[in-house]
Amino acid sequence: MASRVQQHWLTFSRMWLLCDARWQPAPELAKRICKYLEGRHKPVYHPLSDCGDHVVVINTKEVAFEKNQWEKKLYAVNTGYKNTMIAMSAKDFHRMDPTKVLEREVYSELPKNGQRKSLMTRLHLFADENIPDNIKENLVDIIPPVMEPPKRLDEFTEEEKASWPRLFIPPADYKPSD
Amino acid sequence: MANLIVGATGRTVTSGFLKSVLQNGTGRYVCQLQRITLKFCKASGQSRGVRDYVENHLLDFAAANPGVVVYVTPKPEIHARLVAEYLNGEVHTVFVDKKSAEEIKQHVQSLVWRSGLPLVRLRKTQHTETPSIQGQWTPFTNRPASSTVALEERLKRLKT
Amino acid sequence: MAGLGRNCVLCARKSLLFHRSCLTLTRTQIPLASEVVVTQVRGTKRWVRPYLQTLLNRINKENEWLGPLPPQPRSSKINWNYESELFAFGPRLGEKLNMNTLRAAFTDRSYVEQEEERRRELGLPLEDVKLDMQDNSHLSEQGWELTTNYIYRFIRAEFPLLPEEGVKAIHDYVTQEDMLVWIAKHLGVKDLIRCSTFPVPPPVTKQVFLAIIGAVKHDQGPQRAEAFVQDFVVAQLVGKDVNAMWDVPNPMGMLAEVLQKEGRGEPEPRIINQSGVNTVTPVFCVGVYSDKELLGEASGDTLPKAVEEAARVALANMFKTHEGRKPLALDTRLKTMAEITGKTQYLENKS
Repeated sequence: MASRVQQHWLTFSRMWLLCDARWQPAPELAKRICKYLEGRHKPVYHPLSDCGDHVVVINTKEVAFEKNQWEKKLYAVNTGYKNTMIAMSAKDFHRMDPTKVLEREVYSELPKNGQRKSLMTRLHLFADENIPDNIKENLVDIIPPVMEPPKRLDEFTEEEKASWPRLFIPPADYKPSD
Repeated sequence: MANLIVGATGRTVTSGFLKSVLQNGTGRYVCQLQRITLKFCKASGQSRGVRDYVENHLLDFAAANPGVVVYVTPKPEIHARLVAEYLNGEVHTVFVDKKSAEEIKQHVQSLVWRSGLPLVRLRKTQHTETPSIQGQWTPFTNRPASSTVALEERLKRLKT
Repeated sequence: MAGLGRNCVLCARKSLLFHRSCLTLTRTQIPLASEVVVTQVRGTKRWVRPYLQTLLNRINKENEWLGPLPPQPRSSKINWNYESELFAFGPRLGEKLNMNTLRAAFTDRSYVEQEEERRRELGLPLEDVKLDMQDNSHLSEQGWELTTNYIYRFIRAEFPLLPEEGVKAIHDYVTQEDMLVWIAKHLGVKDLIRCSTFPVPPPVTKQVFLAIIGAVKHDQGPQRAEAFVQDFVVAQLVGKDVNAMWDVPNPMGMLAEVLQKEGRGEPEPRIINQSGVNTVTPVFCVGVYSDKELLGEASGDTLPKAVEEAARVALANMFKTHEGRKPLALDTRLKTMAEITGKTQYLENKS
């Protein structure tokens, strides 16, 4: 038996988890990230024990919203000057800083108590896939995506395109109208 | 129980876990009550129940529990009480003014059965010092080896 | 002023009358007045509260100055009968002991010498000075012999693969002075010891406890004494980590030696898992392999620590003192049942 100290250290050690935000719905993804930040996925979870994990999120600039939420959703933004709190649409907010939308979503999803700030420090957001090497070495596991991102047409190989079932094969001189 | 005291809440009562004194009962059971002293007044009406107990039940108790030393100390004009001393050095006092002999009999029996440890609010109804046979849970328990492979493949595919 | 003063030792009431500081108050001689005029005053006695408060302040100040009361032996209390206590000692532990043997077991050599010295000072003739009182030196020797023998036998039977150093370490842990004094204290030995000094020093308590084991052997035979040792001394191993008692300085070297003796390959530590390696709270899981076989795995916040810990776990697995082993056979009833059904052999073959 390992000594009790080492056993305890291992049980409450922090994992570093990778999360891909590409084409993921932001609110649902934030809920899932919160679960891992708080440690609710662990059987040893208790609200008083600090057993959350680190979450590294990549591709936040490709995060998705449903319907017209990019225009409809508003975020309160402080410009830095006194009495200048303004409402900014998600689209503008995202254009300003591509990591901010997901950060706000996670922040609002976390429990509203004193732990919120310390939990937010364990969230590492990156706009694209450029992760520093020291963070890349820490990583242990992948968080499963909320929904499988659909494949774009240019991502299919030529064989896949050729073997795709077709309703009809157009004649060689076929010209679609317009 | 300590948490039945009027006005006591979960925060005011000291809490703890189930314990045994000196692994009692692992080999043989040792009654933890070392000596019991009956203090009462010879004349007072409040001590009448204790006097009844001493006359009718005390000899039976002493015969049934040869490991408990019994002292009877009458004092004028005092509150009748049972002072129980335990093997771990704790002393518990039960005031038995205006109580009947039957009630006192029950009090004495409860003192015999106690371990001598202070009464606390139990946080859990079960406790073990022995670690789990399966081993303690860790973040790497039941983790499939494929997850490491998947991470490595994903890291390779990063467009850096 | 309900809280004034302490509980009086005699009448168990809040009282100043028997307090030690009040004795000093009464020391001052007040000259008697030649003429006393007593007049009855009706109304609120406004002088009572400040008067009692002054007394209380004085008591508190004197208590601070005198310090806490020194510890008193239990025998100084009014409800104390040595014979009754001695009689109750045997039945409490479920042993039928002779009162004379028990009295000898509780008597330290220093007590006999003190009594003889007292008699000499009284001026008794030299023939009468010598007391015919037994002390516990002989009984404690017997008890110690039986205790060590039995504990060694028990540990060797429980951990047959453990080397002799490990067995000795566990034996030393169970029979160390602190442990024996702790056990003796919880069996009500402390108040009964007859010793020249108070508080009773720990070596004397230890000797008395061993003498009690010797007394059980003397009165009821060695088998009963061994049961006594098992129930009260060996039972302290329950819930304790046996591996923590034996401090191996170089576990990896020892593991290599053990493997070499068995003709197996050298131990090879490998990282199994790790997380947060570039942070201040990293965790490394290391497994020790020999001939591609996992001997044990452990974790640590640095690699050397994890490797050392893994070697310890591998040793524990090899000596069968690992976590999840079968519990100590302390319950004799279970032990005999296991022997009848041959369950012990079955478990040993299986593990």
